[in-house]
Amino acid sequence: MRFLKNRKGQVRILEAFFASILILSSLALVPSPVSVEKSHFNTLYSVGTQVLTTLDSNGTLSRLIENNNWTVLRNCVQSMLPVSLWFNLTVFNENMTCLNDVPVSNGSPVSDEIAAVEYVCASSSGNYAVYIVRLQLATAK
Amino acid sequence: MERKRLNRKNSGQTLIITSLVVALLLLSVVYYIFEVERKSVIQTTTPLNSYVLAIKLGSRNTVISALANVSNGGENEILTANLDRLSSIIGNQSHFGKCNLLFTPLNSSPYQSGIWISWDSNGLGVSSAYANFSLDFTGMQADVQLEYDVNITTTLNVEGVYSKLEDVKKQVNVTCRVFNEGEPALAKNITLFYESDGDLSIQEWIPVDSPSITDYGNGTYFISFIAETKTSNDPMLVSARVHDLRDIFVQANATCTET
Repeated sequence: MRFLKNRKGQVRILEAFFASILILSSLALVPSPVSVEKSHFNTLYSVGTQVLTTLDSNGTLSRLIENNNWTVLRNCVQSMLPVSLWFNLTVFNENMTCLNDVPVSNGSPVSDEIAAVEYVCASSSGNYAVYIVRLQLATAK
Repeated sequence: MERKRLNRKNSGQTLIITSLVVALLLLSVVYYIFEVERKSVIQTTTPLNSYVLAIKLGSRNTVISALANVSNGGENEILTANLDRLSSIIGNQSHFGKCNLLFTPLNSSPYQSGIWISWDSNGLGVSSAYANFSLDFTGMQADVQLEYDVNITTTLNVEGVYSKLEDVKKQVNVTCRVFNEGEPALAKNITLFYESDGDLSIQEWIPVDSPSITDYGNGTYFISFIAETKTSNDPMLVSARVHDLRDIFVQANATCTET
């Protein structure tokens, strides 16, 4: 009789053990705010790099920079980004001197959380130059 | 006594079912956590992939630029000089970690310092640049070691036929085919010349004035014009000079066959 009672106790302990594992596992599912923030910046970074890579793949980016065609560059970037995204593009030469004398942007920032992409753009024309293109992105919350 | 035995049996079954349910729940939770973790890893490596892609694109553009320069009269060493500049700038960037771009211009025949220019008189012209790259990236996310090569080649193929007209006049039809890396490509401009007497010992190339050009849109150009050589029996030598859309220059000479 005493032995039977002991076995019941063991089952209760096992149940409690399983229940605690379940509860602890569920805690792991709660997404931490840091990883959410990181993935948000990663998404913005990927979008920015994709835009610049697409523009650079056929030499358009370096050609527009060489010709100081900032308005067309702004329109190109704007047409490739979602409407809800704010952007600001700055072009530097190899000595980090800013080249664009007019802002290449679609307005004022919509959020304090700004992701910046720095892209090395090599010119494909015979007149070789390397530009560093900084694209800042933010999304409305 | 009978009811007690029955209760005990039921209790055992319930325990088995409960343990099965708990086991299934645990498995599903573990699987879900695994999936979430996997998704998170994919998200964190995406920016690095984009960064590597941008570096590969930069090295390709640099080789194109050098070939455009050399094919238009620049020095072969410009390829190494430009790649040095790019490598230095990339080395100074540190978005995700330390990046080191090494390069080796191809030096085996027919390439010299990564450049091969062959503008022959057999109807084939080649302007090409080739470099091997090694990208070493050391960062918090990952360590990447990547080797790739960049081969930029513009090829021009020229074929021509002619028929004699009155006196020294000849009706000449020339077909030019432009290729970028072996694929048909468009030309930015084509200039055609013919030799005044078909003798290359003293070359006197006469530019073709307002020829009739048919652009087939697939890198093939059919050019028709009337030439006047010194004598009616002079062979017809033509020279096509082409800039492709990347500003790479290529030239090919060909002897037209009489029809």
